[in-house]
Formats: sequence, structure tokens, C-alpha cells
Amino acid sequence: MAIQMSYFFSSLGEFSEYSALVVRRIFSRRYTFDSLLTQMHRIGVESLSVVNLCSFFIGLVLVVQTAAMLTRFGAKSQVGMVVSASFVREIGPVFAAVMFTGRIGTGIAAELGSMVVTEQIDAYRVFGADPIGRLAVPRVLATTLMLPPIILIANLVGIFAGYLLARFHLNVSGDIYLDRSFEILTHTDLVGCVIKGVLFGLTIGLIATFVGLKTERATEAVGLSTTKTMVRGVIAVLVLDLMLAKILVAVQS
Amino acid sequence: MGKPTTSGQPTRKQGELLRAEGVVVKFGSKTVLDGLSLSIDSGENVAILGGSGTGKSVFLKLVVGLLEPEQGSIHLWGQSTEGLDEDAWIPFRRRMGMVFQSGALFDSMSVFENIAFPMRQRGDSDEGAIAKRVEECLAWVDLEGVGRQTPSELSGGMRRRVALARTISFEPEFVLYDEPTTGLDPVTARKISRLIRDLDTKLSSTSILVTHDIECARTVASRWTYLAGGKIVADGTPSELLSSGDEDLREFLLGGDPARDLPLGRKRQ
Repeated sequence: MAIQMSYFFSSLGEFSEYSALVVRRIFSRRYTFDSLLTQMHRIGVESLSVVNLCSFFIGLVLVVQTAAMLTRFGAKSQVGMVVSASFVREIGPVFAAVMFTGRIGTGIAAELGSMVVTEQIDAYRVFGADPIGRLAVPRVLATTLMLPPIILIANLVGIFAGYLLARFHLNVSGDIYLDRSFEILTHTDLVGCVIKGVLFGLTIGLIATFVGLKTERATEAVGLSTTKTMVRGVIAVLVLDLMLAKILVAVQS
Repeated sequence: MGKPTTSGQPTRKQGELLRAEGVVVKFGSKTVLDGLSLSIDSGENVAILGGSGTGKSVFLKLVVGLLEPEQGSIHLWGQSTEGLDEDAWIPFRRRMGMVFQSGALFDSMSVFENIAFPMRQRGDSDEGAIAKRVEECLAWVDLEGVGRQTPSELSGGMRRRVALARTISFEPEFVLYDEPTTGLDPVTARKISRLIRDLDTKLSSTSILVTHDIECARTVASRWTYLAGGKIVADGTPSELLSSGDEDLREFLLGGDPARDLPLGRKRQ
């Protein structure tokens, strides 16, 4: 147990040091604007479809679950309010971040891990290029910049899925559903959503690049790095979400 | 160089490019290099020979700063490399090139981009001059017209040749070759060995070749060192090492020759 704790804290220390280095490298501009755009495009395109598909089904499930309960109290028309508040405040950001870790974070770790195994990272260093500045920074920036819009789109998709089910299956008026959906939301909800997106994106990017660049030179090491990224990424997102929820609730009240 | 010598402290010499003194490297409880000392002068082409897992590639990584020794020191061009950070290594690395065992071509870039990479990294911004140089380098390794292809479209031998072209693109003073012929068929391996020899002559560069391919070492290097037990145990010209009385060394150098122990009459069988 003592050994595990010591390993945990030394890894955390190393990760903090790495994170500080990445932030410094963001400002020293060793990456090209083209490489940042390439990563943003790749990360956006790769994650949108899977995140939106999941959001669509979660939106449907939310309506099915809440409508049954609300009907008992004669409040079926309020279903839009429940779907929208749940999505924007909690489900949208967390679920999108978890899917993002699985789709993008693990991909980044596998890509950088393969570069370690095939000595490409060593080659970068030998030719005088900085792998953190050239490879990690554009990926971390791209995850940080792309997750907030992905979360906002996922929220809209989830609310829209709920709208379809409420209107065509539960016979709730579409206007009422939409009115209730947007009535409940405040500016703090939207700002909170963006803040969560930025912090989750930054954390996932940092964990994925850190784990990827620390991949060992062994056959099973790349697979191990993707698993580590998934586990650490999801735990970090959930812990951060709890902290942010406390802060946002305090701000709102 | 004289007769093969056992390892000891090399003396500082005029024109000395690399000096390693008492280098120790451990991975966990395993000692890979155990007080290795070696000195290489400018213009020398040295082969470091030894069996698998004797720390030959580890030594190359120490020389380019990819690893740090636990004990001992590495001097390049008379300057100590102890405790240098990544930025401080850049001036040294700009004078050095390395050909990796796997080629280490960047998968996400075309062959052209791979070869142009070190030049751009050194601040060359004249794209016309870079394109011309890339074509020259590709012609030199007999691979004209493959600039647009990606490394995954090339064979193993072609990848090694592109890796050579990438290394010569900026004409380094000091070139390190890590097992450049491993895993290649004999014909391709001979071709790569000749290319390396021609490269050293063309650039008048100093080189270290790490290999267990005696044929390659014979073609490329005029000085051989033999690494065993984490130390240099023999150092001299190829003929000096070949005539050594050390059983292990003889076994390593001649063990691969199927005709060696056969009676003359059985050679043709």
C-alpha cells in the first residue's frame, strides 16, 4: 500500500511538472499553426459523430424515463425542462468528455506511444526538435479548444432527440417542449458548460500526451498506454466535475 | 591505435571528437555499461561490435543525449555534456546525425518531408534550395521519384536508405549508425554498407557504427572496438582484432563464417 501511494504521488508530481512544461511551451510557439489546425480538424471530425450519436440516444432515454414519472403528476409537458437541465448541467459535458477520452484521448496516446516504440520521438530529439512543443502542445490545445463546442453541439442533439420523442410519441406540443427547455437555462449554465469543456479538454489532452510519451519500448506497451489514458482520463473528468459542480452551484445560489 | 588494448582511461588528444570516461549505465538491477571508456578522433570511422544486449545501442544514445550515464562523463568536441537540458543539447545535435535501427522515419510525413525535416529544423527557409537538396539526397541513395510516397509504402531496405538520405541532408560532422543492416537480406545489407562507406568518404565525417554484422563493419570502419561485459575489451584495426588470441572475440568475429572450421575439401559440399 505504501509503495502504491508513493508511486501515485511521484506520478502526480511528474504529471504536474509535465503540465507546467506544456503550458510554457504553448507560449514559446514551437508548433506550427498548420499542425494546430490539422489536429483541431481531426479531433473535431473524429469525435463529433460518436458523441452526437450517444447524445441522441441519451436524449431519447431521458424522455422515456422522466415522462413516465411526470405523467403521474400530470406534468408531462414539463419534460423539456428536465431533459434540458440534465443535459446542459451534467450529462452533456460529462458524457461527451468520457466519449472524447475513449475516442480521442486513447487515439493520441496510441499514436505517440507508437512513435516512442518506433524511435520516432528519439529521432525528433536527435534532429533538434522538441517533441513536447511540436507534438504534445498542438494536441493539448486542440482538445482544449474543440471539446467545448462538441459539448454544446451534443447538448443540442440531446435536447432535439427529446423533442422528437416528446412531440411524436408523447404528444407534447413542440413549442411547449422548446419553451420549457430554454426557460430553465441560465447564463451560468452555458458558461459552466464551456468552462467544463475547456478544463475537461485540457485534462484529457495532458493525460493522453503524458501517457503516450511515457510509453515503454515493449510490444504490449501501446495497448497499456491506451488503457491507462482511458482509466485516468475518466477518473480525472469525474473528480473535476464534482469540484466544478460544487463551485457552480455556489455561484448560482 | 597499435595492438588491441584492454579498456582503460583514454588520454586527451588533439582533434579528439568524443571522449567517454568510466561510463556506467544500469537498468534496474542490470548493469548494461560498466565503466566504459572510449576516445574517438575527428575523421575516424569506428565500429562498435558485440553481441545482442551488450549495450552498444545504449552507448549511442548516451552520445546523442537520449540517455544520461549514472556515472562517468561524455565529452563532445572537448565539452562536457553532463547535466545538459534538451535546449543545451541542440548545438551538439546540430552537428550530429543518427541513423536509427528501425529507420525511425516519421509516419505522418512523406519521404520528401522526412528528408527536409532536419534542414527546416536548422532554420533553412529557402524551399527551392530544400527541394533541390532533397532530390540530390534521394538520387544519392538511388531512390529518385519516391519523394511523394509515405514511409509505409516503402520496403525495409528503401526505408533504411531514406533514413540515410535524411541524415546526410544537412551534412553532419559526426554520424552514428545503429545496426543499419539488421533484418535486411544480404544483398540489401551490402548495398547499405557501401552507401555508408561512400557517405563517410563524401562528407569526410567521423562515424560510429554499432553492429554485429561483421561484413558491414569490414566495409565501413577502419577501427573496430569489441564490447563485452559493459566494457570495451578490444580496440584496434580489423586485422588486429581478427588475429586476437581472445577466444570470445574470435568466436564472435569468425563464428558466423561457415567455412572457417571446415577442412578445405569440404568447402564445396
